[in-house]
Amino acid sequence: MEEVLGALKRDDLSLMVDREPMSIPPWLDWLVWLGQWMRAQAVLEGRRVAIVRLPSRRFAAAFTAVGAVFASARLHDDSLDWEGLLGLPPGTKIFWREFASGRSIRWSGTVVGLRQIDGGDFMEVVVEAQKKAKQSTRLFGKTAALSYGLTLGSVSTQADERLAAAERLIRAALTDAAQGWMRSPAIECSIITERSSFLSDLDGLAIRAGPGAEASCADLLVIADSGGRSHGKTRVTPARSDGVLDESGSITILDGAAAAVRMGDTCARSVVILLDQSEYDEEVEQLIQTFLGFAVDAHIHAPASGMKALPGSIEAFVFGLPLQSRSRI
Amino acid sequence: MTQSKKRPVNHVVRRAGPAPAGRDATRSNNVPSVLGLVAAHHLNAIGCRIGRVVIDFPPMFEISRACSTIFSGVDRDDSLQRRAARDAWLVKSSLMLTALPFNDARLGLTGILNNLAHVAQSVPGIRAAVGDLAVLVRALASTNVNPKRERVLAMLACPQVSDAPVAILANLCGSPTPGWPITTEAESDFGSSAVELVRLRRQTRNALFARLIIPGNPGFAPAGLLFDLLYGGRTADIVVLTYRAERVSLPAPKRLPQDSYFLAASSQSRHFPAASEPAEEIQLDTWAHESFWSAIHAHHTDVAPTSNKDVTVDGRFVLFADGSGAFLPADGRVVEIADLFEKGANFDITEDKLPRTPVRDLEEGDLVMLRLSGSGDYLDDVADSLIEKAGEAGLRGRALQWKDRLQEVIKSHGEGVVAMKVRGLGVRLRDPHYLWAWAGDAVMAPQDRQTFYSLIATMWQLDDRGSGEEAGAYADARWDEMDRLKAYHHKAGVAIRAALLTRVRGLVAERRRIDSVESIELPGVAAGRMGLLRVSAVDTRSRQVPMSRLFNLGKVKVT
Repeated sequence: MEEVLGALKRDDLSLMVDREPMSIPPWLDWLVWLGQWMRAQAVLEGRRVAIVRLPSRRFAAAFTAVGAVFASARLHDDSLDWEGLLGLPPGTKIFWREFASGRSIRWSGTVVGLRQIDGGDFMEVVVEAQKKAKQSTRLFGKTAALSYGLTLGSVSTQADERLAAAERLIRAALTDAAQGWMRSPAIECSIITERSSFLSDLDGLAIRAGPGAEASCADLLVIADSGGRSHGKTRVTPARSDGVLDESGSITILDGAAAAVRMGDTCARSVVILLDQSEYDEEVEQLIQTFLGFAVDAHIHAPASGMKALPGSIEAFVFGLPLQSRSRI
Repeated sequence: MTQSKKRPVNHVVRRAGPAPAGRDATRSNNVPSVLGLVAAHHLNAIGCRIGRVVIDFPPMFEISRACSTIFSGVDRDDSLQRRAARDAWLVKSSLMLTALPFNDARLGLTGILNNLAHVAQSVPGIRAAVGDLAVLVRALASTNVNPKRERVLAMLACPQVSDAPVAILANLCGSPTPGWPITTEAESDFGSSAVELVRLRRQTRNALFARLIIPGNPGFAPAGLLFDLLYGGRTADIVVLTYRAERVSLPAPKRLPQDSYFLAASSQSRHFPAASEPAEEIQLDTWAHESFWSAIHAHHTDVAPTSNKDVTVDGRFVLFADGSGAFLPADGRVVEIADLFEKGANFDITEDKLPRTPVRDLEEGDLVMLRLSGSGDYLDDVADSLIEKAGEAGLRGRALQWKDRLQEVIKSHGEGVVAMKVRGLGVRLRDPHYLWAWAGDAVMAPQDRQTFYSLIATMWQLDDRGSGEEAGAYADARWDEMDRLKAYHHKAGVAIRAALLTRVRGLVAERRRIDSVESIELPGVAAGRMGLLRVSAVDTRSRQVPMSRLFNLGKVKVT
């Protein structure tokens, strides 16, 4: 926990708003910390929910997710990526990029399965034929697979450049960033909100670490497209979606009252509910009281260094839940 | 008549000054960014000061007393006398809340007093109070000194600490506010273009004000709007301007539960002018506010489900400017295009969804698309018409026939038994009652094929209908049909959206203004005319209604 929270060089971070520098206000800094803390707890026992009330919810979900990104990148264990890749069912389509003749070329293929050669594990992939090339088979060892950054969604040239910029930012922002997190297959964070207003607020907003590294906020979050066709680490889903809202991911952010009342349809180990001043109403209060009925204090893992003090404009409370308190249906 | 006496503003929470209007110190230009604006909201929320200016004006006590006498002297079960009670409230509220001159014809006081005099002829108990009220009102109109107006104008004349506009809350009652007719305009009525009359929540989204003036008790203002203004940092300086005779109650946000982690900061207290104790005046205000909606609801007491599949849902009543109204799904969304229409916005037509707004966020002035005749969701009708054209008539019936069977199974075995069996097949089902959502029209199908298989298998087991293989084949067939049905729904949405945008663009090009309703024809919606309706008011409470009642437009009569 301490390592994850302490890895972020907070003093080196700043913002660029429409190409103009801006220091990070205390409330945004706190939200980044909250995202880190909640994401760091997601690997620990139980579930937990943080309820945060602010004067305005705008940017709150994005920066909580930024905190989660920093924590995820610090926590990342690439051996799990390899296990994940080996566990892909035959027939799964995967994507990667390779440098050839000075440019990055997109490849795709279909997983055949695991093959053992001389005691080593290799993932066998049928490579999709490109133009005049014939269909071929490729064997990926662990190192090769992770260095290529195999993804389940496609990565265009532009997306590849954006991922590279975000990776540079993460390396500059963290004292000990793990390699390959950006391109690892799993969704890390689900944001339940109105996609169009969420994305339009992020227009022209970039994060800087030190003097050189800069990435747009949207790129740092690696937002998956709504159809799930391209690679992404953050999924933005509307509150009106049917069924469970976050089938995968360590942290889910419910942005607003309409999302908050879907608390019962979440699975993530850590959930952050963001509300403005009018949204903690009778309906939300009643729902929270229901969950508070089986709260487990032991599932809140406070950092030994203490909690980051709340800024004056924000109120928050947190409670733990048993793992069984998952989705309603 | 006594002139108002100047009282010091009682500033309770103080900060050094308001946040710079959305500009970061390091930003070189003067255009506030959205992030800068939100940062200013946070700063203002920390240091917002709310003061109360109290105006001593004895005639308001007398007005209030006369109105209370009328209110308590009428039989509110009688429609004529109920109207008199409402008129008494209108007179009192108009005079107390307005910042217009008392003789401004837009207040409509003469007409209301005439109505009251008419009722008083047949209700002797209120005759004296109505007479007193008429004398008082005429005296105020003839001297034409409105102390609240004078104080507002004085505040507007004061130099402000920032160049942001001063806001006046002109929506104090949720529905059209007495004393603040819709024709009130900042520049012509208050002589300043640096004033913004705030009625709608959408006006506060990107707003930052130098000061907010609340010209009366905002106890019945829409919560979202009021909480944005009071606690959302839209300004650092709020003045509540009231007569001594006026009761003031500023609603506070509900307290969050406390934990041992964020205790220190969460317990920070906010001190605002305290809520007044209950009084007859409050009783009159509460009655006037609630009777408005209860009178509307009274016309909908006969709502009975049309079939077993007609499940009960939460509906919120929306009143439109043409005098019609409808229950809309409280947790649903409707097509709303006020922005698109007013700004002639360059809408992204590649997006495959209609611009929808949650019903809970609808407010006065929104422009909603609904069908003007027929019932139910127009999307189903358009989809059915596409299905017929494609030669797949009966697809909806075939795809959803399993719902009737599920209903029979639930009824004959009980939802508990069905839920237990479904769970036994690995389905996560927290609440057995949710089975009714699947059996009804609210949800087309379970979220995935496997859950649907398990549900059908359970029905087969309980119904002794045959082998598991048959159940699997049946589930496969129905699931594929539902997939096709969903595809038609999607096509219908795309078609409606394209037609709507084309029509709206036409209306924008014609510079057509929609004050109440605009009938539009969309291809494929043969079963009912579509309309764009201007929202007039939205009930703040939801009510349980059969699903078939949703979207049914009807004329509303409020007595």
